[in-house]
Amino acid sequence: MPIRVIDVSYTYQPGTPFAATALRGINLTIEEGEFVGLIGHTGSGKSTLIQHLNGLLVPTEGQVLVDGVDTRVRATRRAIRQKVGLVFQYPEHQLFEETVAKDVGFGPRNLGLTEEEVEERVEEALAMVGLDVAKYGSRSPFDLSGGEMRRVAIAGVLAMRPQYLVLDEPTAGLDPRGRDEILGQLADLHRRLGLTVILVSHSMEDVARLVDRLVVIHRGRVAAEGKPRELFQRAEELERLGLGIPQITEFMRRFSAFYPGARTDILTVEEAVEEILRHLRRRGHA
Amino acid sequence: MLRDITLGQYIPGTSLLHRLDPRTKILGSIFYIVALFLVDDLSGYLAITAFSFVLVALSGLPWRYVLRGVRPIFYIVLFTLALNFFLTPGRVVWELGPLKATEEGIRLGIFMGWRLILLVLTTSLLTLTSSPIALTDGIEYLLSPFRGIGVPAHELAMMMTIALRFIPTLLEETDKIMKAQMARGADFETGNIVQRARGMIPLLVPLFVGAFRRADDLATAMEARCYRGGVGRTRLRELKFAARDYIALAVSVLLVAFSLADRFLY
Repeated sequence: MPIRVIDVSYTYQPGTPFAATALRGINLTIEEGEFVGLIGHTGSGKSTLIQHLNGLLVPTEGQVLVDGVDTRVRATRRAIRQKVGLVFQYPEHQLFEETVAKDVGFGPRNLGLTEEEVEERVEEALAMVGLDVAKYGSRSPFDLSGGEMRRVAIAGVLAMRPQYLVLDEPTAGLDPRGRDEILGQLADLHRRLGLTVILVSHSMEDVARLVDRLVVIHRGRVAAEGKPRELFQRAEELERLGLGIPQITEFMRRFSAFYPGARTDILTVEEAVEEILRHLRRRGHA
Repeated sequence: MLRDITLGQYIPGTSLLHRLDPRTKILGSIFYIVALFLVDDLSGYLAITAFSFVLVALSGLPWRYVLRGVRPIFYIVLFTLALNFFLTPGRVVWELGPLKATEEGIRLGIFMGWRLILLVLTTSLLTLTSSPIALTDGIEYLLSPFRGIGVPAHELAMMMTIALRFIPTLLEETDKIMKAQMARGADFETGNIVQRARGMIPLLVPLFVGAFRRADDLATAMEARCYRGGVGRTRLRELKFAARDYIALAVSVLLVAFSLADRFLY
């Protein structure tokens, strides 16, 4: 069952001098098992949009259906929040417990599970983000490194066993190694467990290689949508929206000016190397 | 919920109140509070109510928005009403078990409650029409004569600037942490008082950690730019009184004179 966003508009603080419309008639469907990238620059409305997916915000107009259930219904909101796990930007800022295990167990405990079940989920969730419960479980979350804290916070959401995992800029402020680790783990969760992942980012570089589908949000509307390779063919359009295409894709676009026929729908350096060599060989340069 | 707090909020504008010197507005507010607590009969209340409404009108702000600022004190007003109704000795007009409401109590309660509402309504205009920077500049000027007796005017003003500056940031942060914990099934809305208080821990711990982190960062950033307190500091904007400021101050003094007359002559 999918998440359906139907004609959703949202206005912050309506009826005050600060009223600001963040979403204007968004239509979007996220199928189960998909890996979707939500892209838009600051202020595009992407953070507002994802808070609609688990009913933290309810639309001013339109509706959001999670597996057919309207998020406006109060009685089912808790079930929806369990089903759609939401990881905010800088999630390590919400850590509060004395130990990592207690913090990760906060969600499951709120679900009313028994202590054994909670323990089991904590171990499972920490393993998902590559942390060993024996080594990290009894440590204070405030003594960890930035990347570790981030992963503990993500585990805190995974411990709810969501079907959908929504992450807002999960790599913001991490070093390249921390970034690759987290993105790798997400790809792994998606592949191994069939978890539906919605990854929010302003960086094409991060998401292009991972996702099945990209949705570009601009000024509260869906401005473009499609498979990364197809979308990047419309580079000028993306640039107008204040978004670039990955460097390597850009490079291949320029390369093809000198070597007509070279593929421009390239997403990784490995693909690019192969394509460039193919053309150089054909001309007898290599 | 948190968005209802208009205290400390500034709405830019060009109305007469916006253009007044912050010192005028601060002094005016003090005079207004004195007057508000001096009046004690119907005619006095009617006059100061009319004066307050004229001020709101002069601010050019939407009425609904200004009135909303009064909402957070609803329970305090209710409490004041109840206390005065039942605890003032006098002629009993209504009984509810052991509680006896008196005519004097009802009169006093309504006056006190209305006084609180006016107090919040009008003083909120001060922050609504003055930017935090203008406001603290004003406070610094007004406190500087007391520097001789050891009042650290500049440091106090700086602390207030920083505090005001971080109110919206902390509110935003609170909102974000609440949402993040709600996404993990936290519940801030139901349960008895003990459960609710315990439910605040996942909110308060990250909020304090964040506040200390911010304070630390800010202190470092200020020191990196050689901030070393008020001595010898010049300012970008010098405050200057205009004709309208003298008129406004004269009106404030008249208001206090009126309320003194209301209290002691009639």
